[in-house]
Amino acid sequence: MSDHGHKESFISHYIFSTDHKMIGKQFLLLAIVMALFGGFMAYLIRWQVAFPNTPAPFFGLVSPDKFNAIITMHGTIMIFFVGMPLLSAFPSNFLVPLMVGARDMAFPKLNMASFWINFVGAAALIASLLVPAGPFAAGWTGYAPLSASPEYSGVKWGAVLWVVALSGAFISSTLGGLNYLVTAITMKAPGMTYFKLPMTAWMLLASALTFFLSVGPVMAGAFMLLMDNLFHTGFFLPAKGGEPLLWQHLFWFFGHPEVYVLFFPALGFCLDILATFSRKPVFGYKMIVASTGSAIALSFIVWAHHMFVSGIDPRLATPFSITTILISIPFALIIFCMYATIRKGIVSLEVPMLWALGFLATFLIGGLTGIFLGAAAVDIYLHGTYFVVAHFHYTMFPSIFFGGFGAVYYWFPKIFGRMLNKKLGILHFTLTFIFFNGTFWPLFFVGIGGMIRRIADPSAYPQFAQFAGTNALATVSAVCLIATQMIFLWNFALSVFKGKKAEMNPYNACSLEWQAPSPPPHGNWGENLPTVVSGPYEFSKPGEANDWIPQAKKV
Amino acid sequence: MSHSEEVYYSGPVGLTPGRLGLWALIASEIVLFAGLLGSYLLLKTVRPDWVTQAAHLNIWAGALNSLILLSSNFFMMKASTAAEESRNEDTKRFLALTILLGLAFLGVKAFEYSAEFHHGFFPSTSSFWSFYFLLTGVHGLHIIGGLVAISLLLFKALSNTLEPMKGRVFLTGLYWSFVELVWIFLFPLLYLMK
Amino acid sequence: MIHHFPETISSYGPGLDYMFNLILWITGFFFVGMEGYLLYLVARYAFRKGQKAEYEHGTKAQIIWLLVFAVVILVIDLMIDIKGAPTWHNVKEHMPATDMTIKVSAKQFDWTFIYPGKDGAFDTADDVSSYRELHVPVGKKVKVILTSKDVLHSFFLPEVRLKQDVLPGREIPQWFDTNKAGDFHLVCSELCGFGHTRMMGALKVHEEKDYQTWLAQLTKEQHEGGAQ
Repeated sequence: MSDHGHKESFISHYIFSTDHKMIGKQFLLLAIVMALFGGFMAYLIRWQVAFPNTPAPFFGLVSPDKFNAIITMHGTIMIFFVGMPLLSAFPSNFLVPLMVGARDMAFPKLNMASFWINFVGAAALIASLLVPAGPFAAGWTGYAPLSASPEYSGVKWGAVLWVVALSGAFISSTLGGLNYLVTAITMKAPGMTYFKLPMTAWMLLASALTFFLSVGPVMAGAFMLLMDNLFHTGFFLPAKGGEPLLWQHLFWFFGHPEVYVLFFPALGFCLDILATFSRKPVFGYKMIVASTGSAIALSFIVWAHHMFVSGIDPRLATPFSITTILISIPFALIIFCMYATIRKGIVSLEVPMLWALGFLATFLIGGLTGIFLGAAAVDIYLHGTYFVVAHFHYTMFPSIFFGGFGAVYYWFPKIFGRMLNKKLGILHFTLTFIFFNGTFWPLFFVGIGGMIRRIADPSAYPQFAQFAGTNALATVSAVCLIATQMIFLWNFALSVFKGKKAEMNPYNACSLEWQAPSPPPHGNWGENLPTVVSGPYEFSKPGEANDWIPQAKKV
Repeated sequence: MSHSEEVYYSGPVGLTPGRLGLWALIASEIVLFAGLLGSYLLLKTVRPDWVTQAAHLNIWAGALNSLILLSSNFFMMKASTAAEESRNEDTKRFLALTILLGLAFLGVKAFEYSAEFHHGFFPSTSSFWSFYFLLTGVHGLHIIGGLVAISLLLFKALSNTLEPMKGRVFLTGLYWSFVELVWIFLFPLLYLMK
Repeated sequence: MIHHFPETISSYGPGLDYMFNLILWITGFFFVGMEGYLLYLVARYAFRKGQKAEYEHGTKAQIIWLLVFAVVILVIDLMIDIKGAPTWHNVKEHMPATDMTIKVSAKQFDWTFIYPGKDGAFDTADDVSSYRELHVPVGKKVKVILTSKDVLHSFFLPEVRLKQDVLPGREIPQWFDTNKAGDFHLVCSELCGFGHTRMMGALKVHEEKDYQTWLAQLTKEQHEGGAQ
């Protein structure tokens, strides 16, 4: 399989590989393993909320201290150790060199380092489950002063390990992002230009750029948090001359662009999938690129919409509301282009297409409900309620899971040289779609009713008794949602080893990665680099024999 | 790349992958230091007592360190030119001087820290001191990182294996200049603010 | 399963509820429209033998139409914001003349409310404090001054429609009024530690007479009963 001049050992082929494809698979595996942790924690959260103070099967009683730790770990894992690897590291590593026509990344050894740094971060986070006083428990948002002082939080080493874990994730993503960007800029195959790149490539690069330009302030805050926890400094403690709101500003300056770091790749995957399974070019390619650029710029000036009632000067609400409204426009345009891509196409409902359509259907709800929260007056009531929880699960879950599964199902043949089972895929999608909505749609309503998030024991609040039925419904759905993912794991494991062998281009797609073998060998392209002659979406071109034209000249 | 053919280069003329990567890294680091310095400056506007506390900083040590770091960078630039022109002896010499001066910087900083501890100024003493140790500490970590990289280059030069990767001397020099630039901001903002 | 806002008992509550409903109608309209159009597209263009897809990248005219549509959405969004601005201003940016002031002290994991007593001044001998229960007379404008003894908390009166994070080292003034007597709720709505889940309180709105009775009783307990 390997094109190397020398023999590769198991270690150098599978463990310490510098091949971008292997590194991509390593990130995928990491995301899957961490998702198991994150999903189990979601089950515990929902169990305790719906059936308070009853022991959760396979775990036991979710007491308040455990509850706070679990919600924190759930959020941290899902965003940084599932979302980032699944939507950024895995696809960027695997696809960017293939899509631009390179043999590997610009810096293969740095690439390998970036995986192992991420791994160390993940290990630190899992290890924090076992330290005295338990893991970090101040929410994935880690607001100070609670997070900054073991006297307040009851947690010290958990906080230290949380910062270490995040640092590992941040450094990994920064180094990775540099690699993807430099590779795409300097290593395009002959004939490849920026506007011949598929949307997935653009969006992965947009994600990487946004990340490494926004991560600085939260890294700064993380150093401060670490020092507060370890050396009793007082960056965020008024009694020591610190400022609590400083953490929130540093965190959200990064935190808001971060959600787009996760959203852009999902958009990219869906655009490519929609084009392939509508047999049509992506509509409005250049407008999408321009919209992405403006969204990146705007994403740096909206952050305080997370802080309307935080104690900032209330006059700041107006400018941040305006920028928040503005940023919805480029994304609305991109969504319109996605609809227009389907229109007048020939739609075939293969499994990746189901995920792309499901993404559109569910993300819309997330986007629209953001309008309630962006209106500062209404946010006074809704902030901190389950409405927010439902809103961000309707943006994050579609991005990470609908988008992520779309990518996995779509590129699985290329990555593993085998096909995933279609029937299991349809079942997986259908049940996920039903149970995802069943879990989170009701939560809008309990939020409207006034139920506050992050409450370990709702039964202590008489006014929340009315939500018991709704919460139970959501929990049952959540358990089913998590159980449904076993279908995917089964399909994935089985197909990697025993799936039907895949041809080079099973979907007759045009973009360059489909012209490498399934899976590509080390070095990707054989003797010669491909010469690119056409765009990534030459579907159904009039006057052509086939309804698709591959990007590179046939040798 | 394990293939005999050249890597096909599609980027802007004169901009190598290494240079592009380093500039991108520096961009990211700028935002990090902007976050740190920005926090310090914003908080400073509402903490008038910080001026009196800053008076305890050793301006002479800070000024000396500024000179040391400037000199270190000067020699790094010379090392870069020497490497570019494949003058290995000069490269070795200048890299060694760069490292020595970098270590001297750390030495002066260590001296300052120990004097400050001796006078009872710890990170936990007040928010000013928290910021001082944070800012200089993070900067110090970057100095250490840079010295590690430069040392690796020196080892290569010493064993006469630097030639194939001599471009890395320039890149490391770029990074070293950035670290110096951060100090040029830090020094007045910490030591000289009245 | 369709839960609603609880009743609102303040003068600015209806303004907030109106904004919510306005946004609900507008987003609801787009929700139905977009999901419906998506379903239509899938149904209409699902693979049918013999059909060909259109090889289009988007003409200039089409792009302009989309931009126009986006501008329409922008205008609607801005209108929402403009409509909501007075409510935000009323609640957060402007402090009316108030009839009374109460200090709210939050800590891990309860609320203490301090009334200034007859002299109207705080930190004097005749202050009285109420544990977990905020008592106010109906129909009056109340100023609350929020501060925390430790970490971030959040002062949330759902029926009043007031929420404000409570910070250590800061005293944040907020105001509200009530138009109905009864027992209402106070919830801490910012994660503040392991006891966050039990940091609830109560808002008790009394007729003036009953409020005076309550206050007198509390004063008696705290100044003559010996316990302070």
